[in-house]
Amino acid sequence: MAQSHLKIEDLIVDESFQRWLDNKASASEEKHWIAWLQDDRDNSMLYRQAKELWQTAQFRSVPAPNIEKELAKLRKRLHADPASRATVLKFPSLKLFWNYKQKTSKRGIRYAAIAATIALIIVTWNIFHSGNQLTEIAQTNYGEHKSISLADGSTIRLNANTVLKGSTSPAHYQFVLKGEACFQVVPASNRRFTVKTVDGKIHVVGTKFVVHSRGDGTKAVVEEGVVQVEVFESSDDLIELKNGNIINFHKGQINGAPRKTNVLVHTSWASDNLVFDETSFEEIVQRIEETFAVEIVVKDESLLQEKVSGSIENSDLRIIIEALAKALQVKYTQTGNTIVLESKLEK
Amino acid sequence: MNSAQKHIDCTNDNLMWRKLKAGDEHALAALFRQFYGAMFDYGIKLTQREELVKDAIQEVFAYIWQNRKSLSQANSVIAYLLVSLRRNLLTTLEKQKRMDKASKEMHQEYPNTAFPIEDLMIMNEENAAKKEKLKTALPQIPARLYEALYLKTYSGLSYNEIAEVMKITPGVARNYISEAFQRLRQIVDV
Repeated sequence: MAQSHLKIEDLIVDESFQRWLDNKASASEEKHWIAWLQDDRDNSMLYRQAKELWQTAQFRSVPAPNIEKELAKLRKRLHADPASRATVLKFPSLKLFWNYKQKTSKRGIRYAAIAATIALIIVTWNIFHSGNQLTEIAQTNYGEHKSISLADGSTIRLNANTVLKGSTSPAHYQFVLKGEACFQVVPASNRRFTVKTVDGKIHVVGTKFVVHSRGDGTKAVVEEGVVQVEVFESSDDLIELKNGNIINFHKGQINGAPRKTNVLVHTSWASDNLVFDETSFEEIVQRIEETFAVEIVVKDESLLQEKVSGSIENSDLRIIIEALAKALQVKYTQTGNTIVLESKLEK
Repeated sequence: MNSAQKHIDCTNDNLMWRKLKAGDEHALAALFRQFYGAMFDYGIKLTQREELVKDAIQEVFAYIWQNRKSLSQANSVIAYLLVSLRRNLLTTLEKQKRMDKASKEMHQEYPNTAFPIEDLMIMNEENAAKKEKLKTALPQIPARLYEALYLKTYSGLSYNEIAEVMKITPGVARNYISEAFQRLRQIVDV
């Protein structure tokens, strides 16, 4: 290994020599290098230069955090119940109140407050259309939200348990959605913006909308602006959907004409508060099951027809369930992924 | 120099790795304690963002534990851990860069500003003129050469391990080290 006419570059890349410089050489390696050193007077010169260069290339260490504390954090995480871990929404929440069955007379005010945005909600549960070659853009797990910024300044917010595929060529932004997302689209006359679900397609020009598409049909809600809905089997007719309106369509069939809705009920999942406005408890239960990986068992089925209005802190599953149970005046228990709501308490 | 973090006893690592695969949580803790410093330091060199690095290390160990049954027997535990950390950090940075255009500049530290030259011990140089010279000359060394050099002299990895971490061949790893030393030598006139 050791030639008397070694150059410093050859020497310093030798891993055995490196171990020797680092005092990590084996006994036989050490013996070898000491013999090499004594072999030639030039070698001791080479050795000094190589050692100096090696020391030049040392890096400073960074003070590490408290390792035991970090280990405790890891252990806590590994032993956490997978269900409870899944319920943490990854965005900050605000303190809110809950009004049960309070008739809202503030609807007009609410519309005024949201006039600056459009939300279109689409929900699908079915498998994506076959033959689509679009790449996956983002995916969320239960209890997780994600925001995506597009190059033109448009934003997309994904609700939990959602997959978004698509492609963004300058002339046409096209997306395929399974789950639920809120789109805020910057107007641009020279580019098309479409969102496809298993049930149909939505064409957008500068608007904010929510799409909810989870297998039981697609729901589109426009918070501000106008979108055009194209259902597959009647693609000649584009149905115009204006702000404050909702439309449901399923597998190429429209379920009724666009109708007015409280947009906040459909868009509030993307904010700090969940908003309900004469929303049936059945719908709320379905929504919670879609968002968090849980099954909700309601013992008293008449509860499902109760209408709920008000808002609730959109933070974690426990807070939402507790508020609902309190509003409906029932007790609940949670075992793993199953939440059981008992029958109403006697007065 | 922090010699405690440099000494890596391979036989013991591999034993711990086998125990971990068999479901021994003490082995997980032992590996965590043993490699945390080396991982944290490397992560900081890549991103300079402490919270991001701490989270990434948690992710790496949580992944290892949750997937312990399907883990292969690692040739080198340190290389496995560093490559996992590197992948995790770069993926996170890439995601943030895509999602958060506004703070794009902040997230472009890899490879442009990774491995800050100030972290080289040589920057302790007291001669002001020499230090100035170093400050201008050192940044001309490409980040990948720095990274390889760091993994060699600080983390104490072999060429095979550097190759695994940096996704290159051992021959290229050796060339990187050779090139890095040649450039350093020109700069410091050894």
